[in-house]
Amino acid sequence: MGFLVVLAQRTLYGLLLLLAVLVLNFTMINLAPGDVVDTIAADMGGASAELVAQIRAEYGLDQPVIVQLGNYIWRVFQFDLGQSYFYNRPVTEMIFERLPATLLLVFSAQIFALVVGILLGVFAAQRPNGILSHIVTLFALFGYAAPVFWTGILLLIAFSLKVPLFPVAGMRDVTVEGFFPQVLSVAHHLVLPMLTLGSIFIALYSRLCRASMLEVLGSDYVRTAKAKGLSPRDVTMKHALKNALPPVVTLAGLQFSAVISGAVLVETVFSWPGLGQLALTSILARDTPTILGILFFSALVVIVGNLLTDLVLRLIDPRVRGKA
Amino acid sequence: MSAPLLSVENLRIELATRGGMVPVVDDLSLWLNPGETLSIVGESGSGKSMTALAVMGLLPRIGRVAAGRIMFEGQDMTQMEDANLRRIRGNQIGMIFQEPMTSLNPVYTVGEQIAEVLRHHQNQGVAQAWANAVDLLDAVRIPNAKGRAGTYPHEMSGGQRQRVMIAMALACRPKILIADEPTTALDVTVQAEIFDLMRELAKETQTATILITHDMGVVAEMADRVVVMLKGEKVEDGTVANLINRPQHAYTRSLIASVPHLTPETRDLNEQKAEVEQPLLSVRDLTVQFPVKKRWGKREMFTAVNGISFDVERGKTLAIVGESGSGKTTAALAVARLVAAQAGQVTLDGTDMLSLEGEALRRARTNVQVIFQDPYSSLNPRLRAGAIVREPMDNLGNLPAAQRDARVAELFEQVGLEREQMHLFPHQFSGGQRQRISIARALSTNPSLIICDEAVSALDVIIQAQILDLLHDLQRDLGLTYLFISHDLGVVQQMCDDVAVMYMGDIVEYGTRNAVFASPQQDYTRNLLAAVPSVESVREHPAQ
Repeated sequence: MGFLVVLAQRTLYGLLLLLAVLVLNFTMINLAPGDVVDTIAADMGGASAELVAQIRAEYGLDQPVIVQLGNYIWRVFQFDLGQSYFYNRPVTEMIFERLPATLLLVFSAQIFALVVGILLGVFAAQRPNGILSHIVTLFALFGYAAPVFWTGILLLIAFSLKVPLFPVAGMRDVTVEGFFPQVLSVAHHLVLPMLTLGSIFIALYSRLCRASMLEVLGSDYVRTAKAKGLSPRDVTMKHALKNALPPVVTLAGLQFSAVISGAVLVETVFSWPGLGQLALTSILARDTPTILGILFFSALVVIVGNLLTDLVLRLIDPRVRGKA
Repeated sequence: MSAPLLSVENLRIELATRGGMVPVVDDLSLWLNPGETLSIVGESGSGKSMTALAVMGLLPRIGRVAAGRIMFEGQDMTQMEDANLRRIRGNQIGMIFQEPMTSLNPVYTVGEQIAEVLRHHQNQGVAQAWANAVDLLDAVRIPNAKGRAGTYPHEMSGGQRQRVMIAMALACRPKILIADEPTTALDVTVQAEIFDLMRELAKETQTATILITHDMGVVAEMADRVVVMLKGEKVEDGTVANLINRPQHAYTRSLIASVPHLTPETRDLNEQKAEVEQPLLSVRDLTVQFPVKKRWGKREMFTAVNGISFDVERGKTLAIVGESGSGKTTAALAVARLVAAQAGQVTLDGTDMLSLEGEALRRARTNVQVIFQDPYSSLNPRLRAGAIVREPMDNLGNLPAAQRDARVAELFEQVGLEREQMHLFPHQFSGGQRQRISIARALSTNPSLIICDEAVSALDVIIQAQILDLLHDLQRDLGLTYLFISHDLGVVQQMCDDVAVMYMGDIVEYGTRNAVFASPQQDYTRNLLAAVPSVESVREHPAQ
């Protein structure tokens, strides 16, 4: 099966999934009691029944749910996610302002966790019962068990206040000018949030990679590689690692959604101007269009992440390529 | 004769176990001259593979060389630094392994896996190493070597993969090739081709070979000299002709006796059987197809069994022989309704097996039981042996519950196990004992037909003979009928009354044992018989 055929097929599945996500999100939000008009009325310190009905009509909230759903899907396909009740701005505009920051955080944390997790796993598998292997396990479990906001605050205190290596908050230094200095500034700001978010997933990836490596290291083809006279590094990093990767990559794909929800907390701790903060404020304000928009884009990121996972798996393992 | 290329002196290998260091090879001495083929023969656990791994410096982590020397070109390999050892491995000494299916790395192309050796040991450039890899694939007779170099191992057959392994091992023109049971996992005709190739290449490159095997027939056809090992020790060595004609040790004699000699005994003149009785099993035009998914989701059917017919008489044994992929196992499992047949008729003891459904089918299963190939994976490791044997009785409920345990005990004694062993778990038994448990399980429902699917193929030759004896005795005592599936013509000859030879889904030859073995009518059968290694070639006074 050709690469493009698979890509087209997976993209189609992704679109169908996205449609399902739209319907589900909308239904769930509408099942929850109360809407934005209640919030507005509460903010005004109470309002008459007539005024409430008038505002509802203005926002189209007096129509049957099924009509609202139809309108919503139709608008989404025109790339219109509606107007925020709370900020009174187009949702798409607000999301596009903040999406790059979140994407940067999510992908860099994911890659950081994968690289470190895999290296730790490979290292631990060399001597599975050695003392260093246990230290690696302990360290990884610590990252996994500690609440992400706590890790974040701890890192902030350590590396921004006590030893001021990294900035406390935000995404870039506004006084910096020029393209490369700005990139460097963003990278500088990114380090602590990335470490914080990545630390949760290092444990998962390193444990799985260790188990997978142990299995692969006992296989016949690794013995063959040794019999060829290859160095231990070639045997491990070339012959064993590539065979040990597929389970880790698969898990990483499944974890995309968890990374995104972790990002919400991390963004709050580090005042990172991403979707997380927006999500928090719009939930508190019952700003349905914004919440739906954020959910929609989160789903999109997860779906794209999984598509990437599939493609990476095909690159790693030729046996997957034979199958649809 | 010049000095030996490799000499192993008083080698002792120990493995770490819970009870401390246990020797697996003790006081072993052997030598290998340039250009010759030395065979190390023995059963599993005899230490022959450990010896090979020790020569390569590839003993598992729990193992170590406790005493002795391995001298190669004036240096003791047991004392060498790993970096120096790596310069010898794959360069001066190449090795091929038993399992071609798993010995190649699945995520790299075969060309890359060969080229890698050349780049590593001979500092060849990428393009040059690839070109040489293609030449090597051509030398091991992979058709269209240039195109096939870019394929992955899973796109090749077992025989082709073993050819790739040979190409890889010989890439740097090593002085020694170690082959550890290189053809045990392959069909006999493929085995014959691989041996031809090894002989030819060894001659061409002047490579000395250490051939590890359990099969004296292979020794007779391939080796110049032989070392017989038993439980980690050398029991006998010498030239092949000497050893086969004048074996000193009882163990060597039993190994030689276990080699099939396919020349038939005196012809049985009472061959016309009294055809009074209905055959127990009658199969007509049996066809089994599997769907294979093709490009663009189109379904196509692969015909595994193509309208075959045969009969098995009560109390007799029909063997279905064939190579892997011939459809022999599929046909047998279709008879037992374990795979679905698309067409045909199967009549067992007057019952039309293929039309049964639901409860009637479940009842009918009492009548057919299967003994599977691998005694290690076909017994549930979490159940005690007694429970395994009892389970079919519990399922089918023909016997009152109170009598079942007594029946289990009776069965244990019938298959040559102790009553007390009912309470043990499968891992506490040896391979042969486990196969006895499988037989007891198969007997527990008093079936009229027992299907033995490669039932002794995973066992060592001597254990194999014991299990075959047991099957014989049970047949005599209980009047059992066997449908015996095997790729091993030697085993088939010992077991069966009639033979059906299958090839690509068809029965190509079908007749009594003597007729098929003594005067095969089809070329395919003749090739199959000729491919079986035998000791006759070195016998001084051929039988007959």
